[in-house]
Amino acid sequence: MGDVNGVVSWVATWIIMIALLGFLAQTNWGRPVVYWLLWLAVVLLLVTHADELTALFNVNALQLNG
Amino acid sequence: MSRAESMATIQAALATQDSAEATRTMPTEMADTALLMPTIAPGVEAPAPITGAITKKPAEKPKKEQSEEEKLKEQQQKEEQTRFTDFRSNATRTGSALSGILNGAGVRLAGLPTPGSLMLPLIILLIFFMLLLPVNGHTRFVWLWMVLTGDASIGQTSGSTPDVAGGTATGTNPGGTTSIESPALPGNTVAILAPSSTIGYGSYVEEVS
Repeated sequence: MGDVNGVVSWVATWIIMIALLGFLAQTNWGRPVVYWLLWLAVVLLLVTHADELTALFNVNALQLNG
Repeated sequence: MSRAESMATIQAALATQDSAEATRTMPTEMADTALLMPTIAPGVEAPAPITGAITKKPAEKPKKEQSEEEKLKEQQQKEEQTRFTDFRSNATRTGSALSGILNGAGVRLAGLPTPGSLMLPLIILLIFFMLLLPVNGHTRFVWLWMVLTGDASIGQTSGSTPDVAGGTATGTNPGGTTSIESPALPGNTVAILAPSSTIGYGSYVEEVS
């Protein structure tokens, strides 16, 4: 039951975020905000998944701790 | 009589005549003015001089107090009105200044460049999403490649044993009945760390060649 609640809240959060960004993108001033936020999301995704990115290019370059 | 003396007498006579004429004309002028301004009457009675002791009139005092109270009230009302008008004018000024600032900020934001529109970062984000986020041990692109090359298949896991060379990946699909079954991986397997599982990604195992 806890997992279901977690999934529902996860999906609901994504839907709300997408809806908010969609509404922002409809305005003149909100469009650049959404644009640069998306680029920020790309950067954050790359930074948080650096391991996977490294493994993608060169498996042996992956330096694992412990 | 000499000529000079006669001239002098004539001049004197003329002077007296002029004065007489002047005095004669004055009443007529006054009469004219009286006609023009009938309110100015020549025989205006002067007010009677105050004689004797000044007697106090008690009826006038409360009237004076009332007028003072009324004056105070009026003053207070005027002050309140001025304060209200000042407040309103200040509020409208601050409102207009705020709206000007917000409009300026909106105009500047709208002027920011967005090369490639919104689709470019969105597409890149989706590509990296598919490329970097692992599900059941492999990323979506890897799973897609394996499916295309025949190294993996999509099928039901309820009760049926998988007919592939290898075991099923131990993953938790939130409420899902299908799972991607992975065969035994070739020699150059990818050693993937198993970070903490998150909802939607599932947990994945460390595979060693």
